[in-house]
Amino acid sequence: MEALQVNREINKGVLTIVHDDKIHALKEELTKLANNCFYAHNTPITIVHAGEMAVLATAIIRNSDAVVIDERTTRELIEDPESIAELMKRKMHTKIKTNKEHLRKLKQTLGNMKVIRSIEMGVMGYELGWFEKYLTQDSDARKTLIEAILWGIKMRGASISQREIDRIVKMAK
Amino acid sequence: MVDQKIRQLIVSTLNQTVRLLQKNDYLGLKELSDKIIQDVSTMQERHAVRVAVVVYSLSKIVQRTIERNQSISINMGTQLAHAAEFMQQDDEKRFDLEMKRIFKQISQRDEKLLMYVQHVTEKANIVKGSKLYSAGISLGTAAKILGTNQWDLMSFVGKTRIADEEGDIRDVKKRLAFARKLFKVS
Repeated sequence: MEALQVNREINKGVLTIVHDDKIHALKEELTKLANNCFYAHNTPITIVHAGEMAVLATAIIRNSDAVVIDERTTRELIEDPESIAELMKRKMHTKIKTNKEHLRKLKQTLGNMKVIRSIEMGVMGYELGWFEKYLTQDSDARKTLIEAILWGIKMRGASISQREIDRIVKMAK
Repeated sequence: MVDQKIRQLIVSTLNQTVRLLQKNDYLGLKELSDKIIQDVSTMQERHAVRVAVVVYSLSKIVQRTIERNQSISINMGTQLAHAAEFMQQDDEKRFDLEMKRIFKQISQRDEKLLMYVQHVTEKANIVKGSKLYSAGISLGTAAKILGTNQWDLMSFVGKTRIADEEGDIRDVKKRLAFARKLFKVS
């Protein structure tokens, strides 16, 4: 059903399928760099999938204002790649080495890419009034609505904590 | 040629699995499964991953069989021991064949259990995928290693406390401010 929903948006022109040799080449470069940044037992750790890097390559080539990524590792790669090494070290109880040159090249290639998540998209939809039809008659209807939107997105795999949801609910207009 | 450390890990895990199966010790199997996934997270070696899935699947099968007061007759000790032997000899081809037989036996042992076992095996892949994800590997990569569906994995991860344990709440205000600017929301 979700595939059909996506297909409909492609047919309507909301989503576009991109075929571009430059994007493909950059995707390959980003994948190689990212998957050779961190090492355990002198073996490079494959942390990202080519599909995830294709998103970033497209955003760079198309000079996009922002990229929407829920996937935590890809997001951290853009915003704070060193934290990936820290996380792996903590979770795997193993010394993680960083190839500083690869990391430098990766950061340079990714530049100042802006990231938003489905969470921010959900909040914007809420603030633009797209979900008004779901409001109940209760006094705290707006709070219930925004919480429901955010928890729905979290349950589907967006990397967001309960603390963050509580904070966003307080900040939502 | 399989790395020596990985070979030792696989051989030791398979031998321990044989001993635990003899005692129907599903808790022991589960602990063993959790332990090997820690190693698999760094090694990402396909043989080790498959062994982790077999151990986890066996732990669930034994557990559910006990809970249903059914008699357990998982005669897999010989195959597991053979697999350990082949890995000890670094004979990947025969190890692969033996592992295929083990998976086949798990799947075909009992017609009534077939779908259940397939479900457990799929679930095992997803659980293991979520552990890889929590260790820092991306969703897409974790799904690829375990041969599972990325969307099922994402959906499973969303219902765990992985994001809560990481506790990343930095820049919430900044992200929202940027999104409002992008979508022209005043």
